Amino acid sequence: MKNFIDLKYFLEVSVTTFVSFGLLYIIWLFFIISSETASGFNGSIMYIPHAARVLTICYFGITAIPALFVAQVFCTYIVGDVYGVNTLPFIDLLGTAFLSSICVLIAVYAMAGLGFKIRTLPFYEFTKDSIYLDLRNHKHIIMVTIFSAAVHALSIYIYNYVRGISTNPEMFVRFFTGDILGTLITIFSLSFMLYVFFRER
Amino acid sequence: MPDFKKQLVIFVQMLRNIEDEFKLHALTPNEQAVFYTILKSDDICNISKIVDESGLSRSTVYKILKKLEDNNLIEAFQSESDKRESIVTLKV
Repeated sequence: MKNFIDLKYFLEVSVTTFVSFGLLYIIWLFFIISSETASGFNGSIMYIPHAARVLTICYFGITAIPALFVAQVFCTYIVGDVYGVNTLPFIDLLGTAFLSSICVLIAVYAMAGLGFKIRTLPFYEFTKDSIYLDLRNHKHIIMVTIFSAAVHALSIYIYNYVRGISTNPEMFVRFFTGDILGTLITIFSLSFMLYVFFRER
Repeated sequence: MPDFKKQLVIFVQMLRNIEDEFKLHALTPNEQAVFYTILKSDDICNISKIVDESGLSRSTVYKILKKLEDNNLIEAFQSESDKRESIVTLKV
């Protein structure tokens, strides 16, 4: 029975993660990447799918990682390829997708090391002194966003450097600002949409 | 085992906290109309312009501007070129 519940939760989280990442990726592809120049491929200045990574890892924990990885590979290889966004060999696509999927987790663990812990994280012993991140507080989510954008930009830059794909430092800056801006825009848009749809509050 | 619906409720609560932070829910539709007219005006926004664009009466706009000013959302000051006219800007 317990395994069934676990599987049900895993499926719910995976479907939600895949759909939310895919939806944001398509919006990004159609509305944002088309308005950017060719240097957009060095990292978009407003990468809204990063919001899906931040929100799903924060709220669902590591359960969301497989779906994030599959969503990133699927969206880039199948959808992005049609629009010329998929510029990497498949093996490097897998490598960068893996790093992108775990960047939020690394950031959250790094923050836990600094004393800001999150209840959805496993493998962590919480004490009475632990300061928990409040997932109801958007400022805490924004803090995770900034940390994860830094980890993401740095890890992708190092990967590209080591694999000889690119050594352009502009990529680091664009990834960092793009992830932060994209996530903020998404969260604030969602909040505004929620207000518009449920204005009887 | 975390509950999927419970996690979603927490997420929605976070989004509603943003509404609270920006005091979106405290505004009536007329107040929003005035607020968004000020928000989307590229250059200087005066009361005549708000009246024209929002379609509300001048007295209603005055009352709404007073409330928005009390809520610290906007600030109004007298125009230097025309002392009878007030200029309105966003405070947030």
